Amino acid sequence: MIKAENVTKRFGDVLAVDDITLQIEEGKVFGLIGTNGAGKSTFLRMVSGVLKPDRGTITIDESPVFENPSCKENFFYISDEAYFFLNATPDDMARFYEKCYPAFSRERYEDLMKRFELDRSRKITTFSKGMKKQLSIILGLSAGTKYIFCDETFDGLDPVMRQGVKSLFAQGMTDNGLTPVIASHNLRELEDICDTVGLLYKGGMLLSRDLDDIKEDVHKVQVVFHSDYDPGEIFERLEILEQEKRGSLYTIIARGRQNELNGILRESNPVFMEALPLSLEEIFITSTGVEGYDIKKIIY
Amino acid sequence: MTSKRSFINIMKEDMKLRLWPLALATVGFFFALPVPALIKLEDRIDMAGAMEFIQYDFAKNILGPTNFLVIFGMVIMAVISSMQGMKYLHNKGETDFYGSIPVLRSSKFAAAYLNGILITLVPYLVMQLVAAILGAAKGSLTPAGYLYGLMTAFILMCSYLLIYTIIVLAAILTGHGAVTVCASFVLLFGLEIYAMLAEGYSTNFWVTKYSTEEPRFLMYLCPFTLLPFSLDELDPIPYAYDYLPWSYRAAYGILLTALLLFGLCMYLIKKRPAESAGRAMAFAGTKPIIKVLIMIPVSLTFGIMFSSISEHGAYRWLAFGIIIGLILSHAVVEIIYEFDFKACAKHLPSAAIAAVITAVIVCIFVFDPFGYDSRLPKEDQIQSAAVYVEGLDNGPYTRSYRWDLETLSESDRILKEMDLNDTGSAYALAKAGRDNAALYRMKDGGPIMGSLVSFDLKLKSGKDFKRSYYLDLSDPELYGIFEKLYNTEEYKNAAYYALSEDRLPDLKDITYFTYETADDAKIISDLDERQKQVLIDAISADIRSLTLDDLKADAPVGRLSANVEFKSVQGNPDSGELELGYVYPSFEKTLSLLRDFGADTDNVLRADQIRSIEVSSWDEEAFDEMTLDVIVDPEEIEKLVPDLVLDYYSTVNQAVFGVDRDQTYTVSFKDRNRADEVYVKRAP
Repeated sequence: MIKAENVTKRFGDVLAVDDITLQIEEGKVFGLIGTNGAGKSTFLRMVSGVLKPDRGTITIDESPVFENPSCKENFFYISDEAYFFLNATPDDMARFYEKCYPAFSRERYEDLMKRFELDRSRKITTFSKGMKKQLSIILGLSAGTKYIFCDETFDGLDPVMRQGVKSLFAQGMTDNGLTPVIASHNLRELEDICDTVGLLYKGGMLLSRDLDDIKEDVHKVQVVFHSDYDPGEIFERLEILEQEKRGSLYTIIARGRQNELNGILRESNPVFMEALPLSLEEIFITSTGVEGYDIKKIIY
Repeated sequence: MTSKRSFINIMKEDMKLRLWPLALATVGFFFALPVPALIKLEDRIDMAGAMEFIQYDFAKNILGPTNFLVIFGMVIMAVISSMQGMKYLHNKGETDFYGSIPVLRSSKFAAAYLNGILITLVPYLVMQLVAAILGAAKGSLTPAGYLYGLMTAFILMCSYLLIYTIIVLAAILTGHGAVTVCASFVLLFGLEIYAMLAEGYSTNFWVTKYSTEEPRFLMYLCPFTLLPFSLDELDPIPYAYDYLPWSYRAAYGILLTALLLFGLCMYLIKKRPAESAGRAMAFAGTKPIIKVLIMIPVSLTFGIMFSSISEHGAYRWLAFGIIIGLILSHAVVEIIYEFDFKACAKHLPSAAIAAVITAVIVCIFVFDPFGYDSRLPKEDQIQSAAVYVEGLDNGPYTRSYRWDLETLSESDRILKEMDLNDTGSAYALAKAGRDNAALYRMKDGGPIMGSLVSFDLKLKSGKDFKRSYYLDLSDPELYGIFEKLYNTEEYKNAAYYALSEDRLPDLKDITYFTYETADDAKIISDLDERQKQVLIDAISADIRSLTLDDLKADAPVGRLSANVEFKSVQGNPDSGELELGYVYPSFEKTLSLLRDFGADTDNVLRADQIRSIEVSSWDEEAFDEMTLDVIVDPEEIEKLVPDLVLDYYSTVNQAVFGVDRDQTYTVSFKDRNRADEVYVKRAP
């Protein structure tokens, strides 16, 4: 488990991370979401032991991470601008990581390189941005670590590759109990992969919850009432977070148990009623009531 | 599994990234060692008895301290390997990379640091060995010669280590390559610049400061000046394959300093924030301190530079220079710190602190609030004293030569060796000088009257109190006091080398010069030991009976010099030239002996020899010599001649022997083969 307690980091006058307390459970995909400058990268760099927090503590499996090589053997950090040695080939990098990470799997590396169709002996400087990202992920997955930290890793990958990487993460979770922590400014990138999300805003953590928990408590329903029926009384009984009407079709996002919500709506004997899945966007819109927070910025 | 991450492996991985400096060092040392070795071997001329020289020449010029290509290569490699090895600290991608992998940042740093040494050391030693094998194969190198090469390598590597470590330290303190270059300059030369400024300001503003000709301590403060100095070898007679003890002490000192700096680097690397990559300074807290430390010397340099522009209003220019220096250095440092021109007006409080400190420093030198110029120890604190008068028996030739471990200036040597028991007279003179300096300060400058007299009051506490005062020795009272000192045995023993028989080295050829050129010099080379002793005894007796009045009355008529051989402190043979002293008309015994030895001592100007005398003076406006008169009348010449003294010797005793320098007298002789001589007239 990764535990951050009251973590704060300043860069001169800029408060990059402000008193964040967070727990990241093992075996789940954690998405760290926020606008540019929200503090995602800084937080991830602190979790990776690159930066030392000004205040607070970060532990991974109860070991402090900063300047702790044995702790660092448990994770692989993929920076937003991955660094490779000058004139190095993928094999050179693999050889280096092999010496750093005790569980590095040469077989897995070779297998993944083959699957991603990357040339192992070509200079990395000749790779495209997307190929470099792929290589970082391959090396990270081959390192055999318990955690993998990805900073904007999906940015630059084409949709097919993105899907491929997601499935690799899923496979890693199943086979090796991998815990990916993915920071992104793009909500939709994480929508179908995250189990837990943390929403950062201006250095602070607005929200950190299990998506299933949120989904259990907030529901989206489309309903059509009889034309002579006034739903006002029904709506008053519901804790509606958002409501939209197009013609006779009402789309309601409301808090509460799904069966309770359905039960109340059925009392009005609706013409049509259907429960819809909530997108991450809707979860955040409904779950964050922070004034002035432009949720669109983290979505688009 | 963890063993894979061993320090050696970290070093190996680091070395893989540093192949080009390694290749550069290999190629560079190839051209600095084996190639010159081959050239030297090819140019070798085998002559009978020359082998010892050939072997020494090879050891010294190829493997030893005079292979300047190697020294140059060392300095270049120190810069390259430190900058290249530490560049990872200045790149965000690399700091993220190395910060996240399971390797201690101190291990990564130590590996990079050690590789930076090996990158230079290994190619150097390998190429030195190759050159040595080439030399040995042709018989040009002995085992002692190779050992000498290894000793050179040790001393050179110590200096390399210091320069390299200082640049590494600069890289740690900064977050950007360009700023590292600036910081390296500050760290490498900063101490020396501070010391030079202190020396410059004290010499300029403290009127009583005793200045040695070569402030040797400056050399200790910069690795670049220390490097050639640390390679001070034994004189090559008879082909000594070793260095002076000083060189080894310097090397150990340099090594120790480098190790201490490495310890500081290790401490700082653990504290260094990774986010400083790309910024100007790594430690925000050091910014104002470093800024202040830079602003002070820059403004002081500008101050002294501008104050030297004008003799009048020097203080105004000093203030102007300091203000300009403060403004410029503040702006430049802030622009570098922020990488933003608009930042030049930021952080004014630290600039104000620098301005205040600079002002305080300048005030200390200009207004002397601590009384440097007025300080004088109490008379009863003085054990003995030494006095050196500039312009008394010291002319164009100094008597210094390499006698001890270091070459001392004449004034340094005399002050060191003189122990006057008459401390009362010395104190009275010093007091008069001190009062004179106070008057000078009160008048805010102006022309200083008198001769510069340096004092070393040797205190009972073991400390030396050294000052230089201007004293007007034409003042009868001061003249009388000084005369008492001059006539003492202690004064003459220290001031005249000829009197110090116990210290006199083995005199070889003795030369008697009557004029400034060697044309009329008489080399007396065939003297046996007894004759030499007779001559020394004669000049010693003449010097002992020399009075201050004699110096006041007559200029010298010649000087005696000798080639000498002596043993250095290490017991090795050394040689040099020793000035035995000036010869005065009153030196009857000496002149008589010199005549017996065949020297022409008849160089006293006589009217009957003279064809004409051209009187000229310097025309300031025309910036040229202007002829005023040409005297051909024998009567006029006869009248003038007793007052003429050779210009060449006229300055030897200028402290007591006055001449009128407004006009010069060029004497042409009836003997047309005799060159014209320039004379000046005695002061009335």
